[in-house]
Amino acid sequence: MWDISSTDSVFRESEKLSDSPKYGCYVHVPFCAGEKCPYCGFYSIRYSPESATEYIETVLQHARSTEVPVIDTLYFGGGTPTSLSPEAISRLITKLKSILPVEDNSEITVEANPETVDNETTEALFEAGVNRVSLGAQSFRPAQLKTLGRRHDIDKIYEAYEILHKYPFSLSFDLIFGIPRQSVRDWEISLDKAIELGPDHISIYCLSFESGTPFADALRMGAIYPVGDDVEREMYDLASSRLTVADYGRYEISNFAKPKCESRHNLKYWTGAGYIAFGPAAHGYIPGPPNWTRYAFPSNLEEYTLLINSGREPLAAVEKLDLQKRSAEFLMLRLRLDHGFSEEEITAHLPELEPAEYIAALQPLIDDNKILLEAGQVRIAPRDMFISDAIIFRAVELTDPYIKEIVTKRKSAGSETSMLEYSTRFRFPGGS
Amino acid sequence: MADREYIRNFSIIAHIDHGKSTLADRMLELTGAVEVGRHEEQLLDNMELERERGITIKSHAVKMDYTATDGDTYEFNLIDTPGHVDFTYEVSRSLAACEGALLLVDATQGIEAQTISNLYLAMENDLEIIPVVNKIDMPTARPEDIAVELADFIGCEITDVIMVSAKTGEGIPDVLEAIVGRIPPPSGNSDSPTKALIFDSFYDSYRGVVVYIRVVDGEIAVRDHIRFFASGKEFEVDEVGYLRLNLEKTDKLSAGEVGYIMASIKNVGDARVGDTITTLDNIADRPLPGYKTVKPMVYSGFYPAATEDFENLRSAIEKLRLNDASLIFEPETSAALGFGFRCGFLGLLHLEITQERLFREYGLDIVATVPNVEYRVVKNDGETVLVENPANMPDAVDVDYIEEPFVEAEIITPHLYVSPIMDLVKDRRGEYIATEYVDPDRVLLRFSIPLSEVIFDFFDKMKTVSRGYASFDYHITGYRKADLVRLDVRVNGDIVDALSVIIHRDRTYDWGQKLVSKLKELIPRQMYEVIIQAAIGSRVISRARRAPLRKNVTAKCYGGDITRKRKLLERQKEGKRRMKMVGNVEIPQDAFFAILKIER
Ligand SMILES: Nc1nc2c(ncn2[C@@H]2O[C@H](COP(=O)(O)OP(=O)(O)O)[C@@H](O)[C@H]2O)c(=O)[nH]1
Ligand code: SF4
Repeated sequence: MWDISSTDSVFRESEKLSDSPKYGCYVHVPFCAGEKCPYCGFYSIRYSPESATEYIETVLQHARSTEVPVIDTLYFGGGTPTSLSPEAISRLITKLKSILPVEDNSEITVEANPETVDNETTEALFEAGVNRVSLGAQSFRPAQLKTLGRRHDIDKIYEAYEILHKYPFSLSFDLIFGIPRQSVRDWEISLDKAIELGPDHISIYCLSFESGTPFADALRMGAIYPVGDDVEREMYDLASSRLTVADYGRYEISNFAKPKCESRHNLKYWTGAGYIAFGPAAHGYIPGPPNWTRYAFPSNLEEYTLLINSGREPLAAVEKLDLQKRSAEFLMLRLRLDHGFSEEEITAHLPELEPAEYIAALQPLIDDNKILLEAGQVRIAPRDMFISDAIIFRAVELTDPYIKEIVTKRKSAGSETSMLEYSTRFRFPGGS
Repeated sequence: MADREYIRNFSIIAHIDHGKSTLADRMLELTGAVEVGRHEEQLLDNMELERERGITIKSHAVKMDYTATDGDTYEFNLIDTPGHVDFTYEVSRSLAACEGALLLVDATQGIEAQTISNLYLAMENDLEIIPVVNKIDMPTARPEDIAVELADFIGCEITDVIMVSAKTGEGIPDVLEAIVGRIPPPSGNSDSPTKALIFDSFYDSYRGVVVYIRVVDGEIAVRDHIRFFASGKEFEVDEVGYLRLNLEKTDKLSAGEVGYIMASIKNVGDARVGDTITTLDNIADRPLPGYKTVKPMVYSGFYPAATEDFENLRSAIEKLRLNDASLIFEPETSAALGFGFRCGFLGLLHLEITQERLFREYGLDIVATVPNVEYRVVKNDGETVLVENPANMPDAVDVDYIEEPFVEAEIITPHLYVSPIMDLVKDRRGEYIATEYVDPDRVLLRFSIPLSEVIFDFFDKMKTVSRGYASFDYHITGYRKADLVRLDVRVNGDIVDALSVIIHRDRTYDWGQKLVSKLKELIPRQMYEVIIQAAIGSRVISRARRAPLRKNVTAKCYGGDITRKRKLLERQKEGKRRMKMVGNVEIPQDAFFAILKIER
C-alpha cells in the first residue's frame, strides 16, 4: 500500500488530533466536451470515451492503493466532470465512495457545465449520492458568453437549471465579470438573472488573464482589453451589495451563500484543513504537526496513468512547509475569508507562535483600518476585500520579522529539524 | 638610453574623431613599433569603456624609435591625453611632460572648442605646436581654409601647416620629420637634483601601483629611494622601464626620458598626477610647479539597489579608488535609500563611468541621487559651511547667503547658431562676456555660467540647438552668490531626502512640477492615497495625488492554486527589495533613475 508522499506517519499522527477537521477529497476530471475555453488555465483535454474509461480505472486504482483518513467532503472538479457519460460518472463516484472512508453526511459536489446537463446525467449524479452541483453559468448575456468562447447559450442555462432543480441538490452558479467589452449594466443583468433563479450559492470571479491561454496572448497583442481596475471594482462592489441584499452572505472574496449553504469542501482550502486528491493535476494537503505537506500530481493524464500502472507514486511535487511558508499561507488563505481568523486558529496552524505577538505585528494595518481586530477576530475590512492581495502582502511583510525571530530561536534551541527543507521535485522515468 | 639630444616628447591635441588614434597607429607602423596592417584600431585606448565611448579617460604613453632622414635614430615618446573636460587637469600634466604637441584638425571640420582650450594649455606649458590638417583625402576636405585658420590661431606661417591623411598615410613622414626638426629636445640635466613629473598612474593587482613619469632632471634607477612631494611618502624602486606597447624593463631613467616606475606602492593616492618624485641621494628642495590636489566638482549619493550590498559597495569603491585618486567618498545615510556613500567626481562623465564600472566589474546596481555641485553656505553667525548633500543644507532661517561655483565657458559655433545658443545660455543663468572670431564663419563666445547649469544636459542641448556644429569647453573661475533654495519632495508628508535638490529660486516652480508629475507616473497605486508635493520648507509649490489602489485581488484560490500563489508572494517579497519605503509609501527604484533623466 502507498502512503501519500511518504507521509504515512503524518497521517496517523494527524488523526490522533481529536478535534482536527475531517479531510476533504478532490478529484480532478480532466475532460471537457469540446474546444477549450480561451481564458481557461485548468488542465483539461478533449473528452473521448476511451480515455475517460482508462482515466476512471486509473483513479480507482490510485484510490485503492492509497491509505486515506476519514473524508467528509468529496469534490469532482475539472475540466467538466459532466462531460463523462452517465454510466461513467456513476461508476467513478460510487466506486470511489466504496473505496474511500467517506462519512455518511458528506458533501459531494460535482462541477457541471450547462451544455452537459441532461436528465440521464443528472439522475446518475443523484443516484450516486451527489448532493451539490456547481453550474458554470458564467454569464446571462449572449455577447459575454461568446467572448468567453463558451459552448452554451442562455437557454441552455435555463434548461440545465430546470433539470437540476427537480433534484434536492444544493445548487451553485459560477459567474464571471470583468469580461472584455462587458459593461457594468451587462454585469448587473447577469447578476439579477442569477439571483432570480435563486441558487443556494453564487461564486463571482473577476476574469484573469492566465499566462499561456489564448486570452493572455490576445491581451499582449492588444486584440482584447481588460475593462480596467476601476470598472472591475465597481462590478465587484455592485455584486457584493446586490447579493447581500438578496440574502447571499459573502464568506470568501469570490463566494456568496444563502445561510448555511457555504461550500464545506472549499472552506477546507481556506481554513487549512487537510484534503487528499486524485487525478492528474490534482493537489493535496496534509497538515501537521510536525510536517505540513503539500503535494501535486502531474498535469498530464498519460504521465499520471503511466505512473499508477507501473506501481509508482504519481507525485510531481512535494513540499514540506516550514514556519515561514505556513505563516504566509495562513495569512494568504485566512484573510480571504470574511471572518478572517482567531487566536485559537493561529495556535492550531502555527503552534510555534505566540498569537498575541503575531497579531501585534499587524498593528500598522489595524491602525490604518485595513485589517479589523474585533473580539479577538482578525479580518480584512469588508470594503477592502478587492485589494486583499496588497493587504495580505503587507501582512506577510509585517509578520516576517517576528517569524524570523522565532525560527532563529528554535534553530538555536535545536527544535527546528527538517522543517526548512525546500521543495523537492520528483521526476519519474517514463513521464512525458 | 638615448642622448637627450635625440629625445622628442610630444602629444597630440585633437577633437574627438579628428583622427588622433588613426594618426598614432600610422606613426607606430612607420617607426616599426607595430607591424603595418595589424589592424587593432586605437592601439592607445586600453579600457573597454574607453573603446565603447570613444573617449580617452586615462593618459597613455608609448615610446617609438624613429630613424630620421639625417640618419640618426630618435626616441619618440607620444603621450596621449584624456579627451574630456572632466579631466582638464590630467591633460595639463600630460602636456607638461612634453616639449611639443601636434595640433591635429579635421580638414572637413576645422578647429573645435575643446581643441582650443587644450591648445591654450599647451601654449601655457611653452610647447612647440605643429599644426597638422588631417583627412585631406576626403572629397569635402577644405585643407587650405583650415590651414589659414590654424596659422591665424597659433600665429605661424601657412607653410608650417602639414597636410596629411592618417588614413592613406600621406604626409605622415613629414610629421615625423617635423617632430625631429621642430620640437626641441628636453632641456633637463641628469646631474641636477632629481625631479620627475607624474602624469598618470594605475593600480595593478599583482605589481601594485605603476607610475608613469617624465624625468625632468636627474635620474631614477632601480633600488633608488624615492620620495613623493605631495604625500611625503618614501619608497624603494623595484623596477623602472620604458612604455612600449608593453612595459619594457631597463635599469634607469634619465633627464628627458619618459617611462614607468614600480616601488611596491599600494595606493594610487600616494602617486598623484602632477606630483613630483625625487631621489633621496640626489634630493630636490622643491617640486616642479603646477601640482594641484584635484577637487571633485560633482557630488552624488551612491546607494546599493539591494540594501544588503552596502559592504560590497564599500569594498568595490575602495578598489576603484586604488586606480582613481580623484574619486572621493564617505558614508552617508538616507531615510529613503538606507546606507550608501556620498561620492565626489570630477564631472558627470566621471560619475557615469564610475557607476558603470561598479556595475560591470563588481555587478553592483547603484541608485544614484540627483548630482549636485558643492555649495558654500554663509550662515547668519558668520560661519561658512560647505554643502555637498542637499539634505545637509542648514535651516533657511540660519542662512545669510549661498554661493555656488561658476565657470567660464567657451563655445565655438557657426554664426547661424549664435542666437539659439545665447538663448540657451541665458536660460541657464549664464552671462555673456565676449565674442571672438575664429574664422570667417565661426565665432568663439565666452560666458560666465554656474557650474550646476552646465554639468547636466547643457552639452546635449547645445548640440541640439546648433545641429551638432557648436563645441564647448569650460573651466572653473570661483564661487559667486546666488539666490538658491532647497526644494524637497514629500510623499504623504514625509520628505524623500534622496530627492531634495538645491536650485535657483526662479527654477523651483518648473522643476517642482516636472518632478511631481513624473513621480505620480512612477509611484504605483498603493493601498492608501498618496499625496506628492514639491515644497520649499513648508511652502508647497506643486502637488499631485495618486488615487489608492482599486483592485488587487486573486479571484480564485482553491486547492491547486495555493502553492503557486504563495510562491508569487515570496517572489513579490524579493521584488520588494527594488522598492524603497518612505513612511508608508513604496517608491520604486526606477523613480530615482527617472528623476535623473528629467529635462531641466
Ligand atoms: N577619410 C579619412 N578618414 C580618417 C582619417 N583619419 C581618421 N579617419 C577616420 O575618422 C574617424 C575617427 O578617427 P579616430 O582616429 O578614431 O579619431 P580620434 O577620436 O581622434 O581618435 C575614423 O572613422 C577614422 O577611420 C583620414 O585621414 N581620412
Ligand atoms: S469548460 Fe471549464 S475547464 Fe473546460 S475549458 Fe472551459 S473553463 Fe476550462
